[in-house]
Order: sequence, then C-alpha cells, then structure tokens
Amino acid sequence: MGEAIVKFESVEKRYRGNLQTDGESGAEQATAPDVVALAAMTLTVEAGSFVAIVGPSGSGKSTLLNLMGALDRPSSGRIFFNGQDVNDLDDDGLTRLRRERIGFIFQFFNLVPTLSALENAMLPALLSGERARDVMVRASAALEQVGLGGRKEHRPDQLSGGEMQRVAIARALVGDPPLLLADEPTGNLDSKTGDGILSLIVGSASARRTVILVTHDPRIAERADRVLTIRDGRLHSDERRASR
Amino acid sequence: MRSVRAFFALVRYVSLRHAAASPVRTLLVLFGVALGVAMVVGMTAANQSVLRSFDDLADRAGGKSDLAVAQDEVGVSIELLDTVTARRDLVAHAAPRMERTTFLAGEGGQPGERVLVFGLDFVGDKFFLPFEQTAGDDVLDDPLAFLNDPNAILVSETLAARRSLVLDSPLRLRTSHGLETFRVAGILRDNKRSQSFGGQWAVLSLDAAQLAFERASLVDFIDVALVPGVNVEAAKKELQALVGDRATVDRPSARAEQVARMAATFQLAIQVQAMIAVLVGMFLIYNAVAVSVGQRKREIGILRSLGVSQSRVAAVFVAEAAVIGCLGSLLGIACGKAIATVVLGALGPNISRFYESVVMPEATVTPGLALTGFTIGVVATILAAYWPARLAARLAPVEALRRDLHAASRSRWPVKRLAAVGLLGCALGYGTIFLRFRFHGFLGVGLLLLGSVALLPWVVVYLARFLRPLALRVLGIPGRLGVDNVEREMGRSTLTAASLVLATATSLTMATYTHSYEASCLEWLDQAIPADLFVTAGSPLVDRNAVAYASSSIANLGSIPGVAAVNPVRTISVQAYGRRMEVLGLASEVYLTEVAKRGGRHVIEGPNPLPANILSGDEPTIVLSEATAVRSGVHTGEVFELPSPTGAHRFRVVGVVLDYSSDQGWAMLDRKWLRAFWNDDQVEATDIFLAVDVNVNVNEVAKQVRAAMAAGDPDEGGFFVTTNAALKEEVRGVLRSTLGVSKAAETISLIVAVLGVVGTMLAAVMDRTREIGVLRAIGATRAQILASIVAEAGFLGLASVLVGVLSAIPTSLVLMNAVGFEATGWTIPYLFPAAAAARTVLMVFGFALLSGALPGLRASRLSVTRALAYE
Repeated sequence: MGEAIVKFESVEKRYRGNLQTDGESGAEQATAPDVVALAAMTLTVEAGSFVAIVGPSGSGKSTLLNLMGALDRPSSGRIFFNGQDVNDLDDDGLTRLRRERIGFIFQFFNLVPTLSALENAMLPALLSGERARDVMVRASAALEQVGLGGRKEHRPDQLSGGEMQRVAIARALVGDPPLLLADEPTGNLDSKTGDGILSLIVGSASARRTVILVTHDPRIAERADRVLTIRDGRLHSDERRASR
Repeated sequence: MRSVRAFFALVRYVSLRHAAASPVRTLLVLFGVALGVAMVVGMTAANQSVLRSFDDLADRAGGKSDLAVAQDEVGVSIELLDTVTARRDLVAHAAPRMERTTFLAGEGGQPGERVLVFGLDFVGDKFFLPFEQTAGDDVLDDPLAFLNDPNAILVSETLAARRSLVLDSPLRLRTSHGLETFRVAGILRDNKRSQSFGGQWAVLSLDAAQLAFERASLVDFIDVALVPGVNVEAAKKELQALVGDRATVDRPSARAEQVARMAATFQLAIQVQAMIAVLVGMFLIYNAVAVSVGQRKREIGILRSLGVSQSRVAAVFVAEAAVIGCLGSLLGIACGKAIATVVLGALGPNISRFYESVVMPEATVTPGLALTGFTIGVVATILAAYWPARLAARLAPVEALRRDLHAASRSRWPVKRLAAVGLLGCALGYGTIFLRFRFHGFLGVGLLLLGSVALLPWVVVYLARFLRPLALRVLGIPGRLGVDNVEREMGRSTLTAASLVLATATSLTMATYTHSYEASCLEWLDQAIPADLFVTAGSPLVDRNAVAYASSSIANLGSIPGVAAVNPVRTISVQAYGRRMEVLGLASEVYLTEVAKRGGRHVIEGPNPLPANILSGDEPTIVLSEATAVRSGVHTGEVFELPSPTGAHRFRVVGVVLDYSSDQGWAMLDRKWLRAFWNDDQVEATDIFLAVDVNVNVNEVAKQVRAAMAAGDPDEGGFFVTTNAALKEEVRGVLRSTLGVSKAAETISLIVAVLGVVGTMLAAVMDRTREIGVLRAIGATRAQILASIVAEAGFLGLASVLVGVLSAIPTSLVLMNAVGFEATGWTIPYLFPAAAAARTVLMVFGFALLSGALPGLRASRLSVTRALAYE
C-alpha cells in the first residue's frame, strides 16, 4: 500500500430542506428539515488499494463515491486528492481532475449512443484535446484488454449489456487514471456476465491504480482489500483484509 | 362524477405541475399559438376593413338607388337620363351624379387631405337628395342662389369640423384647372351618405362639378330607383338594352364587388401568409406536445400501471394543450388589432392608389372574428396535440416504464424512400408550370414545399456525413456530438427543421419575386417611361389618386429652354373583355420617337422597334400591354373593341409590349382617338423630354416647369414636377410598402420556427440529462457541453436553411410563372436574390445558434450528480 490518494477530514454533505418565510415577521421557518447524507466522515484511502463500499439503500454510499470522484463538493470538511485540497479547485479544476486522474464506471454503462465502441473509449482523451490518431492506439489496446478487439466499430445498440459495460471499463482505463470509481458496475447484469466484469475491474487494480467500488453484493465485497460499511451517512465499520 | 373528479385530479397533480416545472417550454407553446392567432385575426381584420371600404362605394347614392347607369371612369352622356326616365313603367326616379376624389390645398408643397366631391342635380329629381342643412341657404327649397354661384360648395359636418369651416369660409380645392377657391354655402348634417369617404366630402351643383372637372356633358352615374314591385334583374336587362353599348346598367353593389374582385389576389396573398404562420405555429405546438409525451414516458407508464385508462391519458394531454391553446388564443386576439392597424397602414394607401380611391375605416376585431380566432387557435392546438397524445395513451405500461438502455444510435427513418417521394413531389410541383387549370400554381407551390420537407431527412443524414469530420476538426468532439445528435433525434428535429424549411423557403420565394419584380420593373421604367421630368397632380405617380388637369395648362411647357418634347398622357378606366382596364392616350409620335432614341421598349409582338407613326395614322390602331393581350386573347393583327360614351369602337392591334404598370392591363392609343371617341382632352401626366445634345440642368428646368404650372401658390401642393430618378424612388417606395406586409408575415413565420428550435433543444437537453452528466463526469467542461448543444442547433439550422434555399428556387419559378402570371399577366424574368438569400441564411443559422445557447447554458450548468441520477 502507498500514500493516501483520497483523504476525507470531517466531511459532511447536507441537502437543504424546504424553508417558508413568515409573512409578518419575515423570518424563515423550516417546513422540511435538512437531510444529512454524509456526517463527519474522516477516512483515508491509500493508493493501490481495492476498496468496497457497502451499505443499505439511502445510507450515503453514492454520495461518498460522488465526493471521492470530485463530482460534488462537501457542505463542510475537507477532501484531499493526492494531497491537493479539492475545495481549492474551481469547476474547471474539478473537471480537469476527473478527466486526467479519475475513471468512472456506472451501473447503466452510459455510453454515447452515436459513437462506436472505439470512439466511446477515446472520448475522455478527446475531451482533453488529444489528437484522435494518438488516442486511437491506446483506446484499441484498452478494448483488446477487455476482450472487445473485434467489436470496435460497433455502436452501443449493437452490443449486449456485458459488452457495453466492457466498453465503459475501457473508457475508464484509457487515460490510465490512478483512481477508478465504480458504482454498482454489475447491478444491471446477470451473474455470469457480472463475474467477468468484476474480474476485469479487480484485475485493473494495481500498485499504481486504486479501485473504489460501491456494491450491494457481499460476494464482490469479499474480494476487496478493505470494506467500508456506511449506515445513516456515517462510517459504521472499516474492515481491512489481506485478500485478492 | 367520480370520473370527472379523477380527471381533474390528474390535470391538477400531473399536468399543471408539469407545466409549472417547464415554464420556458410552456411559454414557447403559448407564444407560438398567440403569434399564429394574432396573424390570422390581424390579417382578417385588415381584410375586413378593406372590404368595408369597398362597400362604401355602393352606398354613395345614399342607399336609395336600385340600379346605376355608368361606364367606369369614362362616364355617361347626360342625354341617357332622358332615355332612362322615358321608361316610366320601370323607373320611378332617376338623377345624374358626378363623383371625383380630389385634394384640398396643402402646405409645404404637399397636397392636402383627400376629399370626395359629388356633383348633384338640385333642379331635377330630388329623390336622392335627403340633405339636411345645419347652416346656410336651403339649397333644396331654393336652389337658385346656390346654382348661380359656380364657386358655391356644401361641405359635410365632419369636413367642416376638421377644417374649422363656417359659412362663407373659403375652401381651396384642386380641380382640372389647378387649385380653385370655393365658398362654403352650406353645411350638411351627417347622415348615411356622410359616412362615405370617412365623412370627408363636399357637394357642388352638377354644372359646377362638370365645369370644375372638365366633364362637358358627361356624368359618372345615373342613379335609378325602380317603380315598387318591378323586378330588379328584369329592369336591369331592359334598361341595358335601352342604353346599348353607351353604358352599363348594374346594381350599385356591383361596383364594390368589382373592386373586391380586382383586389382578391392581393387579399389572398395576405390570407396565405396568415395561414402559413398558423401552420408553423401548429408545428411548434405538435413539436412541444410530442416532446412532452416523450419526456413523460415513464410518468405515463406509472399512471397506466396505477390504472389510468388509455382514453384518460390522451384526454389529459389534450386538455393540457387546450388550456395552453385558450390562453395563447386570447393573447393572440389581443395582439391581432395591433397587427391589423400596421397592415392597414402599409396597404391602405396602395389600395387607394391602384384599385379605387377609398378611405380605410379603422381596423376592428369584431366579436365574430375574435371567436373565429379563438376557435382556430384552440382547435389547431388540440389537433396538434391529438396525435402524440394518442401515441402516449397506446404505450404499454411496461414499455413506458422501461429504462432506455439501448438508445438508438441512428435514425430508423426510411430516408431514401422519403427522399424519392420528396423528389417526385418537387418534380410534379415544378411541372405545374406547364399545366393550365385553376390554382395550378398554388398546387405547384404546395407540392414543392411538401416535397422539400420530405427530402429533409436525407439531407440531414448526408450533410451530417459530410460535416462530421469538419465539425470534429473545428470544434473537437463537442462539434461531432452536436452533428450526431441531430441525426439521432430525427423524429423530433425533423418537425422543427420542417417548420424552418417552410419559413425559409416561403420567405426566400417572396424575396425572389420581389427582387425579380423590382429589377424588371426598374428596367421597364427605363424603357417605357424614359422622360426626364413628369408633371402630375394629386400624386407623383399616375395612379388613382392622380387628378386630371386641362391640356391647356401645359401649353407653354414646350417653349421652356432645354425642353425638347412634351407628351401629355391620359388614362381612363374602361370595362372591356369582362375586366377593368386602362385606355392610355398619348402623343404617340412624340412618345415613340423619344422611346426609340433611348433604346426602345421590350416588344413581345409586332415590329421591333415600334415605328413612331404606328398609332397616328387615319386607321384606329392600338398597342396592348402583355396582361391585356393574355387576358383578352387578342393579338397583333386582330381587332380589339373598346367602349366609349360614343359607343364601342374597333381598333387594330399593331403590337404587344412588356409592361408592369398595372395588373389590370392597358391599351395604348393616340390622344386624337380619346378626343374623338371619349370627348376627353384632359391630362394626367405630362412627360417632358429634355434636349440630349445640349447641356441642360434637369433641376433648373424642373423649377421653370413648376413656375409655369403653378396656378396658385405652389406651396399648396398644386402640381408635382418629378425627376426620373425621384419617380423611380417613388416606385421603389410603393414596392417596398406593398411587399413589406408579406415580409413582416414571413419574419413572424421565421420567428415562430426559431422558437421551435429553442423548444427542441430544451427538450433534447432534458432527454439527454444523464448523458450530459456522464460527459461532465468523464471530463467534459461546461464550455464543451455548451458547444455541443449550440453545434447541434446550428447544424439543425444549417440543414434546414440549405433545403429551404434550394427549395425556394423552383418554388419561386412556379410562383412567378404560374401564380403570378395568372394573377397579373406579367412575365417576370427570374433573378436570384443573392443579398436576401445571404441575409436569410445568416439570420436562420444565427438564430439557430442563439436558440441553442439558452438550452446549452442550462445543460452546462447542470449539477453532475443530479444529472447522473436523472431518470
């Protein structure tokens, strides 16, 4: 295990409830209280680890993942990415961070339907302004790696669910990001296909790449180095294992 | 009762919440309906006002005559009065009437207000004279004092009030002899007749009017009231047989109907523009409702799975549209009057100029019209909403609830088949040029426009292939995604693009017609009216506002230094070959010699150039304008018959020339025939040709002509002395104001179509919220998201404007050669309006980009986490 790649210090994420202004006094009264999605979260994720986040629905798993992925900002507290305080970054800074340092895999694949598998895999690099012919080699290699070398020119509607998720993995890996985030990546697949996808994700974790995965499936969690259990927005348990 | 309650619960909790959640889109539809309804109400109110002004023509006899004996502007001999009254078994009362539109003295060289002058017989049959005087001698009981003073005039209460006239006030009025001073001998109480010409009228005795307007023994009408019980149609036939070809006997309303018929093409053009606006508005509504259905697929699925029936789902969507339709229609009706006022302001003067001198009543939106506008707006909205609502209702709950995991990457539209149908439609539409049946041109224009819309998907697909690499190179991946998305969203974008195509094509077609017509017209002006100066009264153009003047007024013009030749021109309206046309009498040798010196006229039939003496021989000969030859079917070498107060006369046609002066057409002849057959020696315009071989200053000569012509104070607007350049500018002004209304209507169509782009792009952003979230998550900046949406809107605009511009070429050819030719009888050579095309392309493309900016900004500001969670 290496140095901390992600570090949370007393991070809280709160969603505001409804307020009503009193007509006479002008004072605001809460008609619905604030929702605390994540409370006083302090944790460190070391580089090169494979972390599973588990917990019931509505516990705050996805909120935690969104904050780790710089998709959202905390209501209070500080988040560090490789020592850099994320609060210091403006929107462009956060966008650059996501584009260059983080790969995302979603439950519903979320491929761009008008682009081929190869073009989808190339997308993050193209968004950062790289030349297409430079990216193509890397994207092809990523597709080969996930077993889709022969389907590069196929569009999403010509691929199965498992194949689409493989393209999504290739898209996440093509920039060789140090952090890979996956939100229920097998939740929409049958168990056999899901196993294959999981192997690819686990296989991508290395000393240079941290993988953080949100799941409901205890079998997946068993393969992680560390399991964070979230309940009611709080870290309920932090279990470290010598697995993989 | 329960089901009604359930329905309103759905409207309250589902529809209204949705409308409130998407205020921009709701407002877009509302404005679309409002614009469409405002156009229909405004244009119709303007049209009704024009028709009411024509009705006034029928009421000028005080509403008491059953028949009128007349011969258009030619007039009828007073002798016919005895001929008509001789039939005591038919005719109870008959009286002559003269009617002239002229001008009061003006100020600063401009003519004053228009005024209608009646010449009435106060000593004959007084049946038609129900005047009540408020001041002055009683001219009915004791007409002698009035008749003994040729300068005595009676004025209406309205005119007296407007000009602060009292008894014995002087009133300066333009007559054939210039500005003359009359004395107010009485003021007439307002009655039915006083509504004529907006109350702006005056009365002279018949003799004084004939003298003032050089009518000798001619009058304009003999009003006839029949013996009670006599059948009007039978009496009409008998009296017509009695007067023969010296006059036409018809009902008073026939005059109004005839003018309305002449202006029918004009009115049709206004109505077509209004209907296009409604059509484009319907596209917008359909588009918005279809989008709303698409976005609420899951909601529909939930409602269906909760037990809401198909018919109720459809009813909810239709009810939503109906509410918006009602509100939009009310807003449209409120705006309709403003549109009508603007349209009348632009068109009214030209109606008076070219068809009949009338005063436009103020435009009013009657309750009937408001109800019609409201019904059209609501029905159009419901019709536009019905189809998508029905589709929504038929959606199986499970299908509606399904998450769209396999979104189609490309269009499944049968683009090639549609393109084949489109090409066929265009070919058939263009082919109508070669056919001849009623409204063939309108059918052609319709087929071409529909064909172009059918070609659109094919153009989108192939243009996307061509532009994709370019978009990628220029804008990077956002540009590429923008182009892709238009093709991907074909179902939704085609409707928006179709309305853009229609708006672009109609706008550019009208621009082509205007441009070609203006260019041809100015070229024709150079050839046909080559004089250096023109002397007119009442109007700088020879139109229906021009007042004729005595030929003796121009006797001295030829002796002004620098003047080489003088050509007095007179036009008289006649009825020939079932239509009204003009007889154009001029000094033919002078005119044809001067025309030949300056390059000659465009001769369609006959010797080219026309010899100078071709019209001045002893045999009566004429040259016809193209429109007259086409409509009468009479050509060179054949005989053309013209009516006159001395009976019908036969003229041999010696030539047919290209002409754009009037869609009513004309026959040109030498003035000697006007004097001989029409007893008319007046002048409406005098062409002055300057010497070409010596250095002459046009403005200096114009000054001298003005001095020679000034019968009174030249500042009172007696005569217009217009230079050739100023005349052309005046013609351009008339063209611009006539065509300005249709331009405004096209602009409204374009605005409505562009609103459609905003709606489509807003819907696209909502539909692709998750996709936008993903793009943002994997590193797309806000600017890149904005760029991709703007590129999408821009590509949509570009594809549409390309098809619109290409479609406008054959459509304008059909419009000019079929619709226009049928309406006017003019051949207009095609001229591509490069400037207007560039303007339209830039405008549509620019507005499309702008309309992508609003939804683009909205997309770029989406919260990434919320966008990813969006269902």
